[in-house]
Amino acid sequence: MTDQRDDKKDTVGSLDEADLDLLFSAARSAAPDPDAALLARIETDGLAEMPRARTARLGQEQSIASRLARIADRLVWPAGLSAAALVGLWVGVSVSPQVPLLAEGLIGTDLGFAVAGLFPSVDLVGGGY
Amino acid sequence: MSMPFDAESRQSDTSLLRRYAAGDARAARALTQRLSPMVFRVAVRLLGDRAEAEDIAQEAMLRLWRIAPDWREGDASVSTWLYRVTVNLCTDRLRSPRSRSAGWPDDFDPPDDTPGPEMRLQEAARATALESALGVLPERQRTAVVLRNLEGLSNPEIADIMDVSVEAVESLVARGKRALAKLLAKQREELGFSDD
Repeated sequence: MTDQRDDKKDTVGSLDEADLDLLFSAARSAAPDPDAALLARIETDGLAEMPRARTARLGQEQSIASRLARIADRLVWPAGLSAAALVGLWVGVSVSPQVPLLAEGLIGTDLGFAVAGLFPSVDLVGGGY
Repeated sequence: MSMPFDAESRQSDTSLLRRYAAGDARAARALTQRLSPMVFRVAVRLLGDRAEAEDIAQEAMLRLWRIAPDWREGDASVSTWLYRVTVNLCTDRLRSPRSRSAGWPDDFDPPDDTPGPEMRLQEAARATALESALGVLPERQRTAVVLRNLEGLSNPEIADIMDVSVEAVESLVARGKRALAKLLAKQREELGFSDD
């Protein structure tokens, strides 16, 4: 390592190396210190930038997003339920033995015979099957 | 400056930075107390302006906070990295057209927080004279001399910080000191050297 010994041989001028050393020593003793307000600002920055704090902020953002998603789910869910209910109703109506409309449509047809064969308990109104 | 955080004061900068990255608030405080004075001190000496030095110190530390999660063991020491950031920020500030401290006046008098009788003490007069003379040096000579003779860094460390060769650092320091000796020669008596 090149040290102060190397610096000394290069120093020339009206002040010698010893004088300069005294000046540097005085300047080191009078080093400017940051005030408390600056330290507080720096520490505040540090806490705000701390990875966990950033994660928490990110989590908060994600939380907002998931809340929006839940609201969207609630809006979509009734629509889905309604659709399912309608399909169920249609299926129910379609296979119900108590619905004459369907029975009438089936009486005397090949499909009617097939249904009667598969579902003997189904009483096609007036069909006598 | 007192260091009330005994547990933290025994830890290396790198350990504290790792703890900070893991979310330890006490490490943030310890790093602030340990490193901010160094950053601020260098910035004041390079810029000659406390207000600008405060901006630089806050910005340099902010960069440290942000790089903490990505800090690797094999990287430069934390203090060397921070010196480099500080010097670069000060250089940018000095070269900025809006810099208040670009072109220090010959009779520049560094801000003094303790005016009054104390300033008549020889030590204070010497410190003031030296800092005034530093402000007149070319930017790179000033940086090299501040890091070498006031911060006490080795030439290889300074070479790393300034991104120059060790030989270039030696040359910058030598020229800077020669210039300081000449600049302060006329104040020899009032600085108390005539009787030495």
